[in-house]
Amino acid sequence: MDNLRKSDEWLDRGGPDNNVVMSSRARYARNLPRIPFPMRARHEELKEVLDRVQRAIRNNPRFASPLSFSLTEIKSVERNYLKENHLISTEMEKGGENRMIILTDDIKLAVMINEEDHLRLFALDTGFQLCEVFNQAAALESELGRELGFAFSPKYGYLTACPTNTGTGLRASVMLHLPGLSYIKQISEIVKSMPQLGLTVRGFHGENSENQGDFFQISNEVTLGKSEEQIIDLLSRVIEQILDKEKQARRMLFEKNRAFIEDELWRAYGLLAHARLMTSHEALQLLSKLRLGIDRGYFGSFSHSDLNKLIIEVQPGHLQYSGGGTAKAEARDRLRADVLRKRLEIDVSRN
Amino acid sequence: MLGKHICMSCKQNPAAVKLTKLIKGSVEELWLCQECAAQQNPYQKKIGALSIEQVLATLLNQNKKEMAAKPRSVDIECSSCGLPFDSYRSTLLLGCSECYASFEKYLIADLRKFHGATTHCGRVPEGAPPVLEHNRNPREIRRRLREAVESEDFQRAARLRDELRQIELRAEGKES
Repeated sequence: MDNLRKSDEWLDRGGPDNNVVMSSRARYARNLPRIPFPMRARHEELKEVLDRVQRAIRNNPRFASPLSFSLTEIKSVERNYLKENHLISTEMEKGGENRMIILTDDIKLAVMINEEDHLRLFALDTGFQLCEVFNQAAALESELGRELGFAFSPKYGYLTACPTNTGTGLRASVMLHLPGLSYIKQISEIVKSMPQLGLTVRGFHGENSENQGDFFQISNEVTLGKSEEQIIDLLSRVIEQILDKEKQARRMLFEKNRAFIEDELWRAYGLLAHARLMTSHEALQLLSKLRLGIDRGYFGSFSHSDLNKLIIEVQPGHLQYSGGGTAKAEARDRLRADVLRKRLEIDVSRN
Repeated sequence: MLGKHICMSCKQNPAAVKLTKLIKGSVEELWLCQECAAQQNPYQKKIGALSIEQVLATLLNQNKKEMAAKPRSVDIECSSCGLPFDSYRSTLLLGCSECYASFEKYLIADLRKFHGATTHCGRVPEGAPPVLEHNRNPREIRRRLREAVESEDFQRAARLRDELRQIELRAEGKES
């Protein structure tokens, strides 16, 4: 298996409450002192950052057999692939000199080098595991910090290129799947209440993306003036509440509107299993419904994890990569429909 | 309070101003309406026909305008990396960690806007002086811990206990 495909592995691990919480992550923004931030650093300075961070990672036992990608060397379709796996940011997807992402063998920890900050180190996992990923990221942060000595001010905390990250430099986030709340039209209320709590809601593809298929990413907005524990604590409590509400909404839908919701689910299945052309937007909408059905034992042996993987597999970059570089949208839509048909036929006929 | 009084001069309009006169050690309080106050109050006369309310309203609006208007252009550069402050204004990206010191005066307002706070109270690097305890209030953490235990939220309780222990350990370190 090639390295790129290996990076898919984190997507289908399961985990607590993964029918609602798709994934949890915690990332730290860190910089080396006395070197300009990446956007303003010269070529040699970026190279120095890359060398020093790579050396620190080589000395770290967590990265015993690392998976690394030089953004300069890999092709744009491969960068797109990593982006769709939620492993690099939109900024990193652009490519650029002396930029790299290094992952641990089990794809649970990663360091992006020379993005907006010198380092963006993060931990990620599937399901509701906010505390776990935070502890992982914090442990890695202190190990690398000991070796690299990050830029820090007693007053403003860890110094970052954008002052919206200053302080703890910690951004914790969870990807939620909320079809139940969406059906009973309570999403906008939740979205509206987030800013008051110092939290932000984004769509499936992260920053600046629309809400698609009822997937929502919720993260802390504030990084200064709160401790790391307070940040994690607040986000956890809010997610727990949303989780309860979503479960209630789903229960209500299946108890009180069974005919309606079953029709919705099987129509979605029908399209996915028979359509000949499928855009990525439509696929995400329909797969979202399928995911809701899986929760109640519809669609045979298909699991949440299978579906998480399928959602990513039919993204444009993934199709383009596996289809040998089919760049045209229509060819991709046909390929997407083929992939979906094949996967759904097999899995439902199994029982 | 003002609404309860009737103007003591014209005895018709509701009072809008309380005028306190201090004449040779004795205090005289007058409740006046807008018009009568304008005639009696030397300070009010100086600002012409403007009432206190009008002045207040103007001040408030000005404040709003300032907040809405783009911040004034500031002609300074970072002493370390040379980034012009206006470049930060347009990109929200600083040039280097020294920019925080160079632009401190102007950045404070942004930090408050983004975070509602201007002081770090999270973890510090290993070996850094523990100067930040006052930002984390152990009493508040203890209260939340009790709350978490009462609601049987043990995961949260464990988190808070760890936080508390960290603060206590640091405090001990400082004493010894």
